[in-house]
Amino acid sequence: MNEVNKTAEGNIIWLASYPKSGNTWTRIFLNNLLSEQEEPIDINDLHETGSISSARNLFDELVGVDSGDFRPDEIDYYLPRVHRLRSEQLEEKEFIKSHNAFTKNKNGEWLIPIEATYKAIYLVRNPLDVCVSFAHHSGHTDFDKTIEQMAKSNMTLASSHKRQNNQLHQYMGSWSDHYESWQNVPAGKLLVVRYEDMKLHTLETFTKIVKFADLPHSSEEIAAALEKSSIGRLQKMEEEKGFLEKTQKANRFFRKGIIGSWQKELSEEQAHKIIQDHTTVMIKLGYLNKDGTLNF
Amino acid sequence: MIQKYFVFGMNVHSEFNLPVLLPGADDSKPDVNIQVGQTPDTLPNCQKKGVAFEIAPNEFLLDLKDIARFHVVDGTSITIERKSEDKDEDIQLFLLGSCLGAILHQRKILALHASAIVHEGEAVLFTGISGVGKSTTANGFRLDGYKMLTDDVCPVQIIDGIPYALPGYPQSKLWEDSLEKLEIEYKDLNHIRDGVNKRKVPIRESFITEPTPIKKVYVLRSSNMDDVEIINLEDADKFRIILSMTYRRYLLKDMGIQPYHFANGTALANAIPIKVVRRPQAFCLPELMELVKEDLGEKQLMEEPENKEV
Repeated sequence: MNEVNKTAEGNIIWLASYPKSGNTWTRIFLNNLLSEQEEPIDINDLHETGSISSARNLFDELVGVDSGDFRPDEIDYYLPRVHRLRSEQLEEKEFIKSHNAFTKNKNGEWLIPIEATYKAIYLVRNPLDVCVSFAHHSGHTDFDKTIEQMAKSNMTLASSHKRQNNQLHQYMGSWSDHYESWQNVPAGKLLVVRYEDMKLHTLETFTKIVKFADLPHSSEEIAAALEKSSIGRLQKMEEEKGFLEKTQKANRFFRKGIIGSWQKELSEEQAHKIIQDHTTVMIKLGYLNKDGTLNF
Repeated sequence: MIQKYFVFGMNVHSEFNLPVLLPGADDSKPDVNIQVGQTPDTLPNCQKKGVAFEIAPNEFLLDLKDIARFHVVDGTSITIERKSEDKDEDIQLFLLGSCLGAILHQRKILALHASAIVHEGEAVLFTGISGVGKSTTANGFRLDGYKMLTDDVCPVQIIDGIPYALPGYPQSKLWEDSLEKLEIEYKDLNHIRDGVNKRKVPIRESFITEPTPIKKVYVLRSSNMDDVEIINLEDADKFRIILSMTYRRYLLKDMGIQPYHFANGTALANAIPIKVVRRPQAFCLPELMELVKEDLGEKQLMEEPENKEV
């Protein structure tokens, strides 16, 4: 094996995001784009894209024991190895969703290893809207609680130590930490996409995603896949058949998806708190101007 | 010193202490020998390499960081190479899991990822993916007076066309959350390992030690619906589910024993009813148990009296 092959790129394209930032919409779009069928794909069968980086069954299968018998630090030790092996096993590129922050384990190894990574698409959304959507997704409207979670530096999904969570724990950090962590992906391998651009300049933004992933599809094909993935269609499908990824507590998964829903739901103090917690990153992403005015 | 044990229908003679297992007969001949010694770094004829394991025909190597390396051969031998002197609890746990799973595969015995209880002399199996509630459900029935055959792994042996569930060992593993919901006091129960909040629950008093004919298999499935529902499976779906619920099924393919697995799976699927129990994500054990009992024919519905009025 020559040196080039040894350092060959990985096969995984990460669809990374903090929750409620357009990840599912993007996956459904990609499934419609990659599927050869005429009619829209079934939202409960998204097999054209891969799983999630925290999938327990894949971990168990690749490691050879039950992850439920491991401590969190042992899972973190094996996780980069799982992703590396998964990447090696893939015959073509695969999109894998991740809510993990891009961080290292105790051994100093990246949990999402560069060698397994072809590219990473980082989806990000105005934290004011994320807060509203995340609270509804969790089955409540206690926005103060969500604001606190979004500011917590040790925020981890599926972190209960008293029971076996469906997924492996996913360290996210605060909303700002999460964005900053993914900036560690080597230059050229990372594309940051704002949810607001996906909504406002849909075709242009999704085309950027498709080109970045080196997919060969034409504008017509992208437009057709977008039409099949419209929020109206997704809401109708969920109404008719349900959506497996909805939490039991939430009323529905495909709620509104609009820009600026925070204006009706958050109090002035709550909005102020979020802006205060995430000023730097909000300015970087163009959600906030230096004079304190908001753009969405 | 060699200890003699009996588990999953096999006589096990072991240099390594496995106190959780039932003792074997003094005059038993070993089906499986367990020794402590050197293991190979890698398998020369490796067909599949996982993150922590290797598979070759009739060989399985499991290498767990800081714990031990296990070499499982021919369905008859396990060699343990310790990586630490104080990890014997961990070694027992992983040996009784993936290593005995590999032994059963190598012996061409169908083993389901299932816990089993006994209802009117017949075994009722609860299978499903990790974390779906197999152990919690089986223990719910145990606390309700039912006997238990095994927790987590259930080997199936088909004798004259009748599938039998083989007993495991008299211990269950439950997360603290489940223990609280089952109202089991756990402060005196040991953790399965340091740092993992699953406890060892002794079930010796409710434990059945005889192979038991299987009555039904229930596949537990979590959903985001609000109700518990039992759904009948037919024909090919039954077979598919048996294959997918096989314990450590991903080890099978490269062991070269798939034909036996298919044959055993078909025989089991043809012989017994298999049903899906779809349950909400939230705790719903009482409703689930009630529905299962009804399905087992425990609660006969009162027949409507005939209307004799003219």
